[in-house]
Amino acid sequence: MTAKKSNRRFIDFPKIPENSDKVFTGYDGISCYVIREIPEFRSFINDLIKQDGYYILGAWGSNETERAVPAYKLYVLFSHESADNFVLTEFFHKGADASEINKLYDSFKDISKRFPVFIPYLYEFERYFASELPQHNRNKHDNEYGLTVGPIHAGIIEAGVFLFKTDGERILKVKIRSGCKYRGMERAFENLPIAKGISVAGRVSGDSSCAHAIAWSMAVEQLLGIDVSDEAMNLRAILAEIERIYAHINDTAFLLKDCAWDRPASFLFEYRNALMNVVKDVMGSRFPWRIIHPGGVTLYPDYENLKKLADEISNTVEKCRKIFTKTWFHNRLRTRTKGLAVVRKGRAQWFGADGIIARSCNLITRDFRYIHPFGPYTQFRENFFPDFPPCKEYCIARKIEGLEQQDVRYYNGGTLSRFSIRCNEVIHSDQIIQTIIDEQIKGHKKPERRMISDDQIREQAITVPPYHWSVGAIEGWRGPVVYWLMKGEEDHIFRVKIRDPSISNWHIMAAALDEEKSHEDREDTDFKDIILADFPVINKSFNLSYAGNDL
Amino acid sequence: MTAYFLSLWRRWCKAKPFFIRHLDCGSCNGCDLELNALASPPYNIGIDGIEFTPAPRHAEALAVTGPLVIGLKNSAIYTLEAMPGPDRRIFLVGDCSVNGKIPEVDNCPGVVPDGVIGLFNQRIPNLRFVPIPGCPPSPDDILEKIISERIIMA
Repeated sequence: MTAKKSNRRFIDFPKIPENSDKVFTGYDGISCYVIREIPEFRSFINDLIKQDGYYILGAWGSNETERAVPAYKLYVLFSHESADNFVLTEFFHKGADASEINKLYDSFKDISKRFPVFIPYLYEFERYFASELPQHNRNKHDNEYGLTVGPIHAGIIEAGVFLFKTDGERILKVKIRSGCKYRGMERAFENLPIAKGISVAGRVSGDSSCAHAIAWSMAVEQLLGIDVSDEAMNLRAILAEIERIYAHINDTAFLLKDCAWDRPASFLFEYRNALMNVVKDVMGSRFPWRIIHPGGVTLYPDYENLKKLADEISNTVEKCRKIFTKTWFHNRLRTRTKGLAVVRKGRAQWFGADGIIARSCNLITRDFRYIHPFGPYTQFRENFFPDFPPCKEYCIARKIEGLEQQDVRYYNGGTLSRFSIRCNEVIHSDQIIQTIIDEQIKGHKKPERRMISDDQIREQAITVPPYHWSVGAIEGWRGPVVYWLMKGEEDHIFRVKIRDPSISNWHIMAAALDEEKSHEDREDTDFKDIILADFPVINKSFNLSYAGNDL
Repeated sequence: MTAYFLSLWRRWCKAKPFFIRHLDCGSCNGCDLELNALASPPYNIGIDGIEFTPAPRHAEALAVTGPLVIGLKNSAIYTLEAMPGPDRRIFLVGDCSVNGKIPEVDNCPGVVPDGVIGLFNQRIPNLRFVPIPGCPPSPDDILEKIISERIIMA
């Protein structure tokens, strides 16, 4: 990681406000500020967002009363919109008094009213959350809402509660009660040896398990100062892109199925399944997250095998591209999805949208592969993203000659634009994989297996002083997956915060379904009323994780 | 000869369709993805009369994914009781539901200790549990277990 420093783009960090400290972290691109007063905290966040071009990735509380200076702390993590900078602010009241946590919670609520922060249930805040657990109860009826759906849904999907307020068929408002699937994954990390954390990280969200495993590994490597070989980084990037292809083909297939178009959907399912079986042959599993390990990778396939996989991927994507092109121009899809549940750019910015949802409403720079690159993304940034926005080059429409650009209004934030951005990203991911395999892996001799054993990790972890922290971030297929890791005594984990992209995007989905808020959109010619039958299509076009959100 | 027995089997399958209801008990959605893959055209489960139904009232079997979590305990009971009796079958899909805990992960505060088997046995005795281990089990594994269960039924 240290070798590619020169390619990364940093800007200067903001100045230190009065009565506060800047903590030297020793890592590139991350700066930590300790702030002690509420008004200063508020104005500092305000300046960061309004002037310096940062946006909030997440906020979380932490009970650190066991430490030498006992305190309850509130952390807020920011990322810059276009440079490779992170800012972590730390806010605390001294003392282990229980009333402090109430003060902290109040200031937290204050922030969440002003800024897009939606991460309420964390360590000490859990007790607020536990009373609000949406237990399915027969005897309690919520008459305010016309229709309560869930937590168990009709179909093979995850569990969550939606409260619909409807007028006949028309949806007026939707409230999303998440938290049914709370397992306590962040708590499961605590007091675990650092070497064993990977088995928890891979099981947080099954459909983006590779992204979670990579983000965790990067956090550990940054904390312990481990250098990772280029070969391992290349393989990790390939795994992340394969996961993106899997997910996007699946989602587009389900969208087509919901638009009463089973035939192309069946083909897409078949291509995806064939690809997964080839991945199983090469990597050993259909979901190959177990290959990833802090310090490297546990398995490195031969060049011949990887080439076989790359050929299979390019075949699959080529076949999918034909289906995307045919369906995208067909009216059956357009009449159903165009202008449905539109997310406006300003609203997305306010809620802190990220990943494909942000990119589908023209917040195109919110791509961690471009802003916070690692491994091959740093070396090939110009190849991968020749003209930013990244997807412009690979628009399906451009593949068809004689079509004027003006006819195609892409990323207006509707369901159709979420469909088309998925199609584009499948094609884009294929190009990234081919570039990595052709430029990096071809011609190299078989790499020596540079794996770091669990014992080595433990020895290295003991040398790092306690209560040091690090951040690992990667662009999963939904959006950025961020891990914040704080080390405790010896080689044990003290606290971990997982930040899955669905956390902020659920709120954007609720806002897109709200009729009052979309009132100004009615002048748009594409605008559609949303009826109950549209909800599955919209839900699938967002396709957010319940498990990653509830943790 | 094989073709003859196959045609008999298919005829029997058509006469006796097998409806399965999926129940999420707090999985990481890996097993749900594989169940979705199983329900998609490449596996063609409809030819063996297997179908995933949206309502537990129509279901002969439950396909449970995930260890049991607190937030879904009541829902799991309601779903089980909504199934018609007397011979209910429970497919435990994935290591989580088989062992009642997330594999290699201890100390999860949200997970109920006894798991799905403990909860269901309390409510209704003599349920038939069919474990399908794997993290996640591939669609082929799941299909194999379902078919063998159908043969036992016959």
